[in-house]
Amino acid sequence: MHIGRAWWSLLPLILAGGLLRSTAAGIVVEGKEEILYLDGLAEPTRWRPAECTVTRAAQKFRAEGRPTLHLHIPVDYSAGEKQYPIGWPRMYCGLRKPDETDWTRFDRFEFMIYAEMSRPKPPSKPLTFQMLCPLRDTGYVHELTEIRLGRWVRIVVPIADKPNLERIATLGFNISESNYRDGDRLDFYVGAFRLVRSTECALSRVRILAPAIFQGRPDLPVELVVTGPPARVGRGIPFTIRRGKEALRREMLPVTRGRQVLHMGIAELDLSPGDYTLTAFDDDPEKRRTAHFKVVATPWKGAQ
Amino acid sequence: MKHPRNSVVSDRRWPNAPVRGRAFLLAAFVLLRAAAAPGPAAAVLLDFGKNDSPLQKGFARLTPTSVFKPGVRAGWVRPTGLRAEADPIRREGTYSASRGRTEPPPIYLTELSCDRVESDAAAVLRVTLPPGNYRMWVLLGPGGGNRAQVWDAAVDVAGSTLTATLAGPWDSRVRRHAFSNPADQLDIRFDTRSRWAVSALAIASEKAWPAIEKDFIKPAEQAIFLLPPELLAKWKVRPRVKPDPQPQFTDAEKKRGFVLYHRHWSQPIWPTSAPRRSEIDPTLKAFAAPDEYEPLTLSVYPLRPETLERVTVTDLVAAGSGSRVPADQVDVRWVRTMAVRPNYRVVGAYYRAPDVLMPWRGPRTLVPNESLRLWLTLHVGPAVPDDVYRGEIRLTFAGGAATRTPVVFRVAGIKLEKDRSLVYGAYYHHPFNRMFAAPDAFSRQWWRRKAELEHADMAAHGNNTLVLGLGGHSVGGGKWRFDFDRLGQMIDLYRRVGFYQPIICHFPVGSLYRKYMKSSPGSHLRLVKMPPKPFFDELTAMVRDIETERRRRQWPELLYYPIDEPATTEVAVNFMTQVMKAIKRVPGVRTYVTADPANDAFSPMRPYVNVWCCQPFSLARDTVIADMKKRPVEYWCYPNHVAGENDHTPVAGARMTYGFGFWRSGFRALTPWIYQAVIGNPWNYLDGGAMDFFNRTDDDGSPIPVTLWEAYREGIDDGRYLATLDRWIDRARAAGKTDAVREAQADRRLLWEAIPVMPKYKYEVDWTPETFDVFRWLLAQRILKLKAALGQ
Repeated sequence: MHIGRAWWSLLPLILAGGLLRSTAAGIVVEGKEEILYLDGLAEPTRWRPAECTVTRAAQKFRAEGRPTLHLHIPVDYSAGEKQYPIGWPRMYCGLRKPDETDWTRFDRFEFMIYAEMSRPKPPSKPLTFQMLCPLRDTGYVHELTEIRLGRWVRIVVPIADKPNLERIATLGFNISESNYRDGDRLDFYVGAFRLVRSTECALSRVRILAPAIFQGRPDLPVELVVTGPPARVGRGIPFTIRRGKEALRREMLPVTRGRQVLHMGIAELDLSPGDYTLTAFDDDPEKRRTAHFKVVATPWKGAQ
Repeated sequence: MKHPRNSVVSDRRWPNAPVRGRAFLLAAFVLLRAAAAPGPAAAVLLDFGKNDSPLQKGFARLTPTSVFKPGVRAGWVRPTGLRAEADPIRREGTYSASRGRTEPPPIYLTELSCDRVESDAAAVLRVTLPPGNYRMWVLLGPGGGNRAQVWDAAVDVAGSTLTATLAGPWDSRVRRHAFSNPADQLDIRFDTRSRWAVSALAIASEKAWPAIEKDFIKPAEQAIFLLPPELLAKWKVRPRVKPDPQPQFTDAEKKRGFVLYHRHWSQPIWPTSAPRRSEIDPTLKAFAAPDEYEPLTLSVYPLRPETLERVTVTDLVAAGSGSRVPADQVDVRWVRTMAVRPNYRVVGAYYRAPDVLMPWRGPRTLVPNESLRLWLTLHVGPAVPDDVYRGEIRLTFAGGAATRTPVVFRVAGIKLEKDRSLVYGAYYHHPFNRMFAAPDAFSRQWWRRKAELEHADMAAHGNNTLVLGLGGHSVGGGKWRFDFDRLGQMIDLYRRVGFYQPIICHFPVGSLYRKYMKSSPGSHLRLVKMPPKPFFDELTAMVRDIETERRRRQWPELLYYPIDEPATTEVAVNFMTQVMKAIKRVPGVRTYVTADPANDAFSPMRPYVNVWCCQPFSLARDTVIADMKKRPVEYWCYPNHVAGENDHTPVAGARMTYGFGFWRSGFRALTPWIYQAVIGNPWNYLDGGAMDFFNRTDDDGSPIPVTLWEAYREGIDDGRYLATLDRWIDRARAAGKTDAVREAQADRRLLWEAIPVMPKYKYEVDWTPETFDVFRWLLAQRILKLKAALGQ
């Protein structure tokens, strides 16, 4: 989703329209979503830059009118660390315990980014975003391929399926200089950091991990990413298995927030070879999600 | 530290221990301590080497001049031709200007392994030893020196022969033996087909052995095959996975002391894995087409110390027809875990990972709560008829327990075909290069055999080419003398195993650069400077000469591969662009580069590159196909993320990369680094500048596969089912069988849409392991239906 630079200027009108309302915990409600802004992350002194500089962005580069960082990187193939002159200019920000480190109650982390470069177009991997929990290999790395020159872009990082959300320790941005040419000059403006969650139980992913199964398999492994407030999630999600139009079974299954693999028992259905669908929220067109699977006769037909 | 000369080990010295140095005192103390319980002279601990080379604490020195005579504990009998060698014990690294980094020593030598006695002839070591039952432990190698030397030892002791053959300077073997000694002395005869080298030997009575094992042998093995203690103390164990919870075992299982369980072969079984209840007491099921290989695994989970004595597989028999898949077509192996690094060059951390498929050669001691996975590969003969076959895997344990696990195996009546336009290759350190430099006939023959067996193995796994190199040197006047005959021998072998795709060929561009610039361009061109124009003219002339000779010898196409993974610096890219241009001045030749085509820095090179080989499937299918249609360019992939250099266990990712994912990518080739990476000791992945990985080598030169290599074959086989289906769809369409064609295409589309599209299939493959097999069977079933529709 690309947000034009003028978007934030409409903010007062939106506010006047009553679409946003604040909650006691600093969370604002916008439509069917609850949003927690993390403007503290846009404080330059909290970031530790190396081979680059980070400052507060000028007024004209404020993301949605909110505090914004300016990351300036002069690509220099001969500077940097002795062993790696073509290196990784980077900046890291340690999160404050406990207020900023537990993201388990949210579905998405978002921020806005605007890029200017001395080159005509960005490379295929212009900037990398890292969540360290507390290390890189226990965290998450996201290539910001969404970046466009001269345009605000909202970066949406779905987090409900990520592990270690209760101990997000550090956020980071870096480039790999090998993706650029020596002498390139890069300016990234990053702001409007926020955590977002749905006010309703919903599925951001339904995937059958065995889209084709042998006849007789007792379970169907289904990967779900469940979003929404815990209270609503706790009510469970309705699923329907169909062959063609015929509903073979409807059931409400318990789920939890985040990513999970549900081993849905199908033994008693005794499914014969053919094509089937699994639908969640069958009666709610807005939230309905459908996945297909096929039952295949085994190669050992007749064998014990 | 210098040590006293004590080349003769005398019984008489031990009780009174004449003071001739601290090391000797320590040795005497240890020997006395070891001998204390069972009686005097219960242990002999010998460290072979030079008079002045380091001596292992607790061991006695034995040099080529340690001659046996009455009253001496151990010495050579009429020694001739014995030599001692020693290498320095180093822990610090050496700076490599070309690579721009400090490299650790290739292996971490210890006082025990740094020195040795060696010979190319037989020699007898005589040990004074009272009659009794003994255990022996001997460390053969490392031999140091010539990289092309193959060390070979046959150690005759008490009527048995212990053998070991090891290649190169850094490999070593431990051999153990239990024996009875009826006399007052024991002769140990060392013989060889090339050269033998012995670094250490320990003999102790059965009673004394546990203490010797604990105090000397285990620490010695740990220092050689893991890390020396001072380094090990600094390295952290960083497990990759959390331990599995144990299931509730039944009383019968507890009484028996183990359970058998099955998990799909593409799911690694870690040292901390435990069976799930649903996996216990399995019936193993699989299917294959004639002339196909198929893996089957069975794991033993011991609840107490056990010894698995025997593994037997019966013939698989079809009930109706009596047709058979004979037991001798089943290769039985066990999965060896290796201590591995979290990444290629990581120092300071390791974990244990299931990796190498060792040949099953008899009893294995099982550690409680640690699975032993058996890995069986069935080869279905070309004429085995379509049927369901049944048989058993029988295990016998030392305590007398025996099990029978049923196997049900379907052979599908399909002649598998292959898309022969696809390229499956591998980077390869060709053993012929060692063969050419080998110092003796046995070593030469061993390297030749290694190459032949590896080529046969590559072909049996579905490969159809490999990366080769052409050596050469400048003879002045702009002329070069190339080793065409050597490359010719390699190409002969390539042809003998049926390879047919173009050969990626590197040639001496680095030497040419040094000739003009008087320096190295550095690893990946990190030090390159732009050479003068005559450099490029001479490069063109080189390629012209090579091409002329290639045509004269009727060789397959060579893809010109001047530099590996060039850097993205402006000077490196400009250099590469000029190099590519110079190569392409020769009509008809194609260039090959290992670089990311998505990286803009390489854009000046683009018009001169015919084959882009990049690590992941880094461009989208549509982009790749459109560009290949527009220009004479191909996109290849070297999927190192599933080749073991940073992880030995992404097995399902490897299968997807080689099979359905490859099909979906639009890329034309897979050529990973590398068929075998040996850095230091091939059985120690923690020594050397980088981790060892991928296939290992048995003493006879035959390849020992790793799980990832088997996954490659399974991926390629997935592709063969696809190619076969496509051919049958064509045949059915030509015969007007439109309904059958439509149904087959629907299944094909279902598979296509189910395949996740990713640049790298490594951990992110979220299909269940069985899903690959179900889709493969869906294709097989459809092929059988199309055949039936066509009356076949």
